[in-house]
Amino acid sequence: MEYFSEGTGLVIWFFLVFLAGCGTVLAFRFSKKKDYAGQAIIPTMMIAFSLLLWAITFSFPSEEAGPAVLPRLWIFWSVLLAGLLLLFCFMGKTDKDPESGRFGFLLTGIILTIVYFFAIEILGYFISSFLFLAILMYLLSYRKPLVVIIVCTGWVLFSYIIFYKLLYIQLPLGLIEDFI
Amino acid sequence: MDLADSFAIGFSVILGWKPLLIITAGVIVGILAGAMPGLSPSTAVALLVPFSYTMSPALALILLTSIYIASNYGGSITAVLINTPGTPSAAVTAMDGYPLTQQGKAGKGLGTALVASTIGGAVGVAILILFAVPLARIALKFSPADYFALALFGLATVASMSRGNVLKSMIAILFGLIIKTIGIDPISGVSRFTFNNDLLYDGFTLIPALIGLFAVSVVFAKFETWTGVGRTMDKIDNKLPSLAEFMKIKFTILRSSIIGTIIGIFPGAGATIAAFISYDMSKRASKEPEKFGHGSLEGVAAAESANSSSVGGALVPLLALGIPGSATDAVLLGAFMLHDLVPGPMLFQNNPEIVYGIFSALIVANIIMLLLGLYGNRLFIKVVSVPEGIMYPLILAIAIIGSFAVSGSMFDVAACIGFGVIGWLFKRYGFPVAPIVLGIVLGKMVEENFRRAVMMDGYGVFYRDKLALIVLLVALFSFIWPLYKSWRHHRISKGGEKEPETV
Repeated sequence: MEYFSEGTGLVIWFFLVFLAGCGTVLAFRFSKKKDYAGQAIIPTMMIAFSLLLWAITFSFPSEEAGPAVLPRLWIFWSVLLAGLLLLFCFMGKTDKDPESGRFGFLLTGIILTIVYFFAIEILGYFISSFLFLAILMYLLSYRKPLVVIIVCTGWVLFSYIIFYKLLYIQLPLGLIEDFI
Repeated sequence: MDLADSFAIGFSVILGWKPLLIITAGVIVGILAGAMPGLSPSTAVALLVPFSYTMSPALALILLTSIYIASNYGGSITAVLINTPGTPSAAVTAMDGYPLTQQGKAGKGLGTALVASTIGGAVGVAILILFAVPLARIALKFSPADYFALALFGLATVASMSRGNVLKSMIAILFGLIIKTIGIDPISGVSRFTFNNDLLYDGFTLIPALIGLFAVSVVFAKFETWTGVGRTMDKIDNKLPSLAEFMKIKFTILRSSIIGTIIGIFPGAGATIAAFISYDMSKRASKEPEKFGHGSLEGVAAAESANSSSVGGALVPLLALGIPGSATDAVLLGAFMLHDLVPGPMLFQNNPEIVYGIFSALIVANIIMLLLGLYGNRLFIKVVSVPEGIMYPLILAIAIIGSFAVSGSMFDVAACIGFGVIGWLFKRYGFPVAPIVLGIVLGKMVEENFRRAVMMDGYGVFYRDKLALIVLLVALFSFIWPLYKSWRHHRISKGGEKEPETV
């Protein structure tokens, strides 16, 4: 097991666990239990995550009350309980999946948030926040231009005065830095 | 010198327009800092320490302790209104406070939080005044095994957050506990699960995880159910709870205040653990436990009175023995030293005006907080009437800046977004997120004390140490009992039908 705790062995272990996890979810999706495929995602991910970390614990020093003890204890219970929940999903003894929502819109929102995250470093916090708020308000159907500008400007001013000036939190300036 | 004489000296320090103005300023700063995610009470106190340098020692400490006590209440405002806890302990308040807002009863949520905070703060101060020295001595006798048992008792409260699905709650808390093991092991210095990435050496900080799980996940969930039309909540009831409603929760407030003070006395325990434990105990004692998690005033009261009373408890070891019990106490200790004072038993003898000035100021600060809160709530509630198309982007903006403000790191921002996605996924499939926070909060306390206890005395310490054994048994019982009750209730309601059981 120590081979899988780091380096190439760890990468192999990761792929094995990943494939097993995907296989489990797909098995649900294309079986009679497809109404529980979503419920199976979290326990499957927990088991995969736990097994990955469990392999890594073999690289920790082994000693009484050492750094591996509690992680292995939590991982053991995590695999056990998540496995139990997965079994209940397979037996249909848990809640069915909730109704599908607008995943496309959700994905758009998450991607926009991630783009905002990267934009903070490039454009700076203030410019990217102004743009992020304006775009997101537009996507959420709020389209009164004057109010949008006031809200975005107000937030930028608030964060500048309170966080940057008063609290000395060094928000990334990005493009503005070249002009200061 | 008897207590009455000491208080006479203490009140003489704060009577005057300048001290009262300072207390008021401290309360306002505390409420605002507490309300803002990313600004913890310790940050707010630390930021004003330099400003206090030119003041007299008594006024300086009065200012800083006023901030401390008000900031715990401040955290409940954003927790109730927009499910964005301003302080970690307000996460428990959000569990019932936000559902109240969703039901159009934001006024009741905020009003209950305010009164519970005030009474909790007062009880904490009263216990501090009357029992500071003996309580501090008892707290210091706690061994690592006792602390481990206390932390495990805190973990056992997961059963009360389950909303009927204990298995999912336990998986959530284990996720939080595993997350907390990421980083440099504090005892051996071994790097755990860091994948040689120096960003992970300190692991995941609590506040970005908290903001992500509570606030960002709500926004993502709203994106999933977005109908294309932004709504405004127009039927907002800004009425405070009635006297009859308060009378119903009076014992909850009193019990939680005492629990919060006692837990706050233990160094390292803190307001968050106090809030979780008193929430759990209040749910067990409640006549309507099924309402917890769905907008129960008792739930809000239990959380808020405990987290506010823990301030009084946390000041016990600091003032009586000079040992800081929390991060904020550590900053206050620094402030004492800045003014050439050494907290401890001699402070009571040599500088009674400082100690009793602080006690008097805490009493007055509670009253000022109540008055400001009653007036301020009418303004705070207007937040809920902001159109969704404006509110949700602003919540994300607050979450991002709040996460960044913790340590000026974009890694925390990335963690916040990541936990937001995890929180959305968990909530979608019926997993509660509060246990994840509980796991992150208690993980370090559980592990460090367990390993210290075993290294010092071996595994047998947990049954040799009678106090630890009793607390562990109580923890086991408090975990199993709700499971048994739930199973029995399910059997009775099933009544012999052969439908599949829901786990």
